[in-house]
Amino acid sequence: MISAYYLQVMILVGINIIMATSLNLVVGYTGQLSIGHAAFMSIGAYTAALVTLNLGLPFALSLLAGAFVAMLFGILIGMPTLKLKGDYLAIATLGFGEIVRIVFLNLKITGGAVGLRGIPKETTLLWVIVAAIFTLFILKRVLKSRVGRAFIAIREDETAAETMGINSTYYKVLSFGVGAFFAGLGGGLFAHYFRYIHPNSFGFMRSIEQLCMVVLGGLGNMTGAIIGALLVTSIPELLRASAEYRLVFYGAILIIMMRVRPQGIWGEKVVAGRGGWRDSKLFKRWTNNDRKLKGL
Amino acid sequence: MTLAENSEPILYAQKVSRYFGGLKALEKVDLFVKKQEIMGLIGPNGAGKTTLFNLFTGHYQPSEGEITFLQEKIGGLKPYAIIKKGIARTFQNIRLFGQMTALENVLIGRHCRLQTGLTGAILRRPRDKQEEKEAEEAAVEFLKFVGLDGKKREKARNLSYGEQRRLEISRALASNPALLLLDEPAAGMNPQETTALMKLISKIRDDMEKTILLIEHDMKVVMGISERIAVLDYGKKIAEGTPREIQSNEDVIRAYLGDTA
Repeated sequence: MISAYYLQVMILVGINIIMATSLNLVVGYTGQLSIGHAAFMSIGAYTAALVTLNLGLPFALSLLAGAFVAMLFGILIGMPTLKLKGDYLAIATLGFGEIVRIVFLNLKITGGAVGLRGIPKETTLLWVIVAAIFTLFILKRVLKSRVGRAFIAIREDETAAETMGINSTYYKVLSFGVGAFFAGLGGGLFAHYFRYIHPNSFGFMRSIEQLCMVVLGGLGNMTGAIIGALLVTSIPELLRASAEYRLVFYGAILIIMMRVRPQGIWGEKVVAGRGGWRDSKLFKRWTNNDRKLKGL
Repeated sequence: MTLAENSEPILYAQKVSRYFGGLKALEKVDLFVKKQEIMGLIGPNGAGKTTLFNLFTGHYQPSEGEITFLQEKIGGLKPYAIIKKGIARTFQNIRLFGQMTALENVLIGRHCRLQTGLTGAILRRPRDKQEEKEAEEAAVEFLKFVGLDGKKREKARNLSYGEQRRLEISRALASNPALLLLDEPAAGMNPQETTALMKLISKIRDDMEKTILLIEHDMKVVMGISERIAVLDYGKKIAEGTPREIQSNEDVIRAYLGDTA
C-alpha cells in the first residue's frame, strides 16, 4: 500500500490539476487574468460540505451541487467584472476573492472563523482521478469546438473577434462560468478529503499558487497546466527537508523560470517578448517538425 | 459594371457625423453603395475613411445621421450583430488571430453562421459533428479561393505579409457577407502582389457576387478596379463619381496636392 503521506500528496496533485486546468481555460485560453480562482473553490467546498452535512445527499450529488453553485457565482461575478481588461480585471477578481473569504468568515451557517468540521471523508484517490479525467475530458471537448475557438480568438484579438461575430462578453462569462464549475468541483473534493474547511484555506495565496501552476506549466496549454500542478504541489514537499528555506527555494525557482523560460515549461505562448526557444532552429531541427506546437 | 449601374443601393449613409469631443471626424457624410459594385473610398490621411468603416461595422456609433443596410437601420448595433446582417471587413493593420492556424481563422469567420453552443460542444451530438465538418469543408473552400489551402495548418503569424492579407479577406468572406469592406488591402504589397490582389477583388465581386467598398491609397488599384469613387477630406465628402471624373476634379486635386498645385 501507498503510505498515507504519499496518498495525500497524490490527492492534492489531483485536486490541483482540476484547479490549474480550469484556471488555464480562463487565463491561458480566454486571456482573462483572474486571481480569485480559490474563491470559487471555497464556494464549491462550502456548498458541497453543507449539502453533505445538512441534507445527507450522496457524495457525487454534493460535489455537483458545489460545482453548480460555484458556476452560478462565476457567471454572476463575471457579468460586471469581465468588461474590465488586464490589470483591472485582476484587481476586481482579487477583490471578489477577499469578499468571499470575509463573508464565509462571518456567516453563521459556514461556522464563521471556526470553519466547518466533521465533514465525512468521502474523497478517495479514485474519486480524484475520475474527477480530474472528467475535467480534462470536458475542457478538451469545449476547447476543440466553436466555443473554444471563440475563447482563443478573444485572447488573440478581442476587437477582431467581435468584428467576426463573437459576442465577447458572452463568451468571457461562459469561460469564467465553466472555470468556476470545475474550481467548485475541486473545492468539494478538498472539503471531503481534509474533513475540515476554514475561510483561510482559500485565501489570496491559494489563488496565486494556482496561477503559478498555470504560468509555470505554460499558459494556454493543458499538458503544461498538469505539469505545473504536479510541480507546484510536490516541490514544496520535496523541499520539506530544508524546512524554513523551502519557500526561498520555491520563490527562486519561479524567478529563474520567468527569466529563462517565460512561456512556461510546456507552453507555446510566449508571454514576454517574441521567440522563445521553441522558435529556434535547433528546436525545430530537433523535433523535426512542429507537430507538437499544433497539438492542443 | 453593367449590373451595378442599374442595381439598388444596399448601403445608405444619410448625413452621418461622428465627433470625438470637439473633433469632427466625419461631418454630414452621404454615401450609398450599390449592389455588386466595387466602390473606392479615398482621401488624405486623417480624412475619416476608417472612421466611416468603423461606423458601418458598429465599432463606433454615429453621433448624428442614419445608416441603412438592406432596408434596415443598423446604427446602434454591436459589431457581432452587424456581421450577421451581412457586413464583413478587414483591417488596415492586419488583425488575425496569430496563434491560430489559417483554417481556424477562417472558421472564426464562419462563427456567426454556426449554432453549436456549450452543450453541443460537450455532448458532440451528430448534428454538432455534422455542422463542424461542413464548416471545415467550407473554410477550406474559402482558403482555396484566396490560394491558401496549402497553408491551412500553418499558424497565421507565420504566414508572409501578403498571405496574411489574403487570409484576412478569406476570413471575412467566410461569414458570407453581402458587403465586404476592405481597409487598405494593398498596403505594403509589391507590384506583383498588388496585381494579384486586384484580380482577387474582381473575382470576389464577379464569382461570389459580393458588393465591395474599399479604402485604398494606391491609386493604380482604386482607379483600376472601382466603378465609383467617393473622396473624403477633413471629414467631409468633397467628391463622388467615376474614376475619370475624380481624376479631373479640382477639389480632389487640391485636397491631395494643396492649393498651390
